[in-house]
Amino acid sequence: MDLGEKGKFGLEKRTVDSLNCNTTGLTTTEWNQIGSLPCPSASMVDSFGHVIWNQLPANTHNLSFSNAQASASSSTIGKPVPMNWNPSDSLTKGGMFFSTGMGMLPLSLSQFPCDAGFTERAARFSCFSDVAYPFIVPGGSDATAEAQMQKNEAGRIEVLKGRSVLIDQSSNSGSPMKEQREKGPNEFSEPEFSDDAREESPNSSKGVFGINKRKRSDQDMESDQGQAAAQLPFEAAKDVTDNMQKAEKNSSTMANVKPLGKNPKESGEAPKEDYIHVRARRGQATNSHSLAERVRREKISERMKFLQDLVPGCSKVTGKAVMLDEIINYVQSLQRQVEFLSMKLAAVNPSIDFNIEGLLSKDLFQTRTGSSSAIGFTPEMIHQQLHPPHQGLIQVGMPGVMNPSDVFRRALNAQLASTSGFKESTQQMTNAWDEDLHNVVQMTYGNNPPLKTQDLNGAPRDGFPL
Amino acid sequence: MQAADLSFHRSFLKTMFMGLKLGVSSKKMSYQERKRVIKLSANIAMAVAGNGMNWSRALIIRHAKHEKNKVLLRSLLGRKRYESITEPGFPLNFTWQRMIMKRRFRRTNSILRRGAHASNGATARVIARSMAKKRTRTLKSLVPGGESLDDFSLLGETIDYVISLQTQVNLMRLLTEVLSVSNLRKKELDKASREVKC
Repeated sequence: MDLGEKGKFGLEKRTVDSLNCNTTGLTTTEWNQIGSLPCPSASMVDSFGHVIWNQLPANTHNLSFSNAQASASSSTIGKPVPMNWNPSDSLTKGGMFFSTGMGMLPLSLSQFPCDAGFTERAARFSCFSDVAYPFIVPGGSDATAEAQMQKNEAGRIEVLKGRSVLIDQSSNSGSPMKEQREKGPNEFSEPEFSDDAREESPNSSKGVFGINKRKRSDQDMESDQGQAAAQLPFEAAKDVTDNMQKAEKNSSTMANVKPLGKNPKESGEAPKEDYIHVRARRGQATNSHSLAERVRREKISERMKFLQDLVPGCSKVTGKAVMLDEIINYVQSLQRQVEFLSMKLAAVNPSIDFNIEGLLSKDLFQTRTGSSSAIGFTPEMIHQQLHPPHQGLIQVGMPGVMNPSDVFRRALNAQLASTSGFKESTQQMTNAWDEDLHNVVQMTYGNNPPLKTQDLNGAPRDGFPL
Repeated sequence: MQAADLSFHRSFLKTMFMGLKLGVSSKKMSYQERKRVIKLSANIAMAVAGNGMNWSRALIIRHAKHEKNKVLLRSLLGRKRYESITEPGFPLNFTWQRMIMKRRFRRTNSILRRGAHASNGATARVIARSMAKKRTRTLKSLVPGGESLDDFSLLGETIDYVISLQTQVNLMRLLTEVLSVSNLRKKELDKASREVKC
């Protein structure tokens, strides 16, 4: 997306070509309604052009957007109108102003040299003072504001600082403009601070621009016409900006940032970028520190929620301290359980032949059970499986069948079968294991007569209903 | 959920059995010694299974410091890993100690500062914050390797650690059940064979 590129790559991309794309992207209304405007800041002006510059005086015809002027009187803001200014017109209508000094004619959009020298030249033309000057200032202020806002995205700061003012302007205006265009008409009157990224950032940027514009325009108004013309739009802008003051407060770090789809209020990670885009919430400070803090707090609360699910009995607990208390208690209890179980194992241990354990592990690792939830062993499960076989075996009289691997496997299978319902596979596994168990039994219980192997085969089916 | 990830379980059991086999010599060990070895095996098994996490490495280091464990550890972990973990050149101690010093310094400073403002009366927020801080400190002492972590990663580590602890407890419980049952079986077997003989 263009915006993303602009936001990310800063000046390098915001040279001619990006501006080209930018402005072409804008095309429609804004250009036309800009009326007479200096070229590089035209895109900048676009952002508030249709609010403010609808009634530009006629003596600003020098601008290249002669055709646009014709439709400048039209107050439709968002109506798409084909961009039909062309270089020849600008030249004929006195675009010489531009062409001479600056070579800044928008002969083609690809020729937007946004250098700082333009500001001076533009300022020379008094008729443009009310036009040009305000553009410069917001750019400057905006750059700093943005630099602040985006401090939590470290990678961007250098980019931001490296920009020249004008390019900022154009870029800023570009991105909000594009969004604005997509928004549709009459967005100003009802600034909706919804989740739509596009709405907010243009509003915010406009708010910024508008406010600065108000300040500057009062100082720099040289022509009465300009004043008169400007006042009306300024009042309109004032209303808008009053509404937008809030927008400005809500304005995010995303004025130059690629909007993350439709969820700007959440911080998400753009796939390619390694910093997190954050949008300030309504009524909250947009200080970079507070934003970063908020991100951090949200991350922490996310993890606390996860822990809440982990620790049993914590669903009703709220508050960090109590939750931490519960977590601590749980961890301590788990560690105590480990201690207790190791004690138990130590008590059981001396009579265990560890060859079996080795084989057990081998068998366990060999059998792949496919689907199951985790081996969520519970002692209850084991008891169910073990005790009936236990009785069955005693009746049979050949308890040799029950060896640890068998039990273990059956417990596993039982658990898995209950969860996955793979009874047949467990039966098969049972049979497969029996063959292994021949060797096991003969190795370990070396005294056992071969008869027992028969029982080994038979008993699982009889005594161990799975 | 298909194909649950049993790799943790497998790895744990593998290391656990290996440790039990190597560590427990059935003849001459006292109960306490056996218990210690079993606990060590279980912890190392958990640490090996939970590889890649901060607590895992810290847990192994914690155990590697004791002299008694070295042999078992070396055989359990394999030579390479053991060497890499216990290499003395690692400046962990330095940074760790420095951090501890810094923290103490900061803490005393803040206490002094707070004492100056104490006349305000502690607000609820301050109290809550100190409560949370206190508990964070205990959590740090509980989770291996948690001392040098910040809040956020500490929580991540506790999540992982809690999950592994749960798995460890479950597996050990299962193991005790299995072994105790097989123990019973074996006893009955012996008894039966003895009866047969007689």
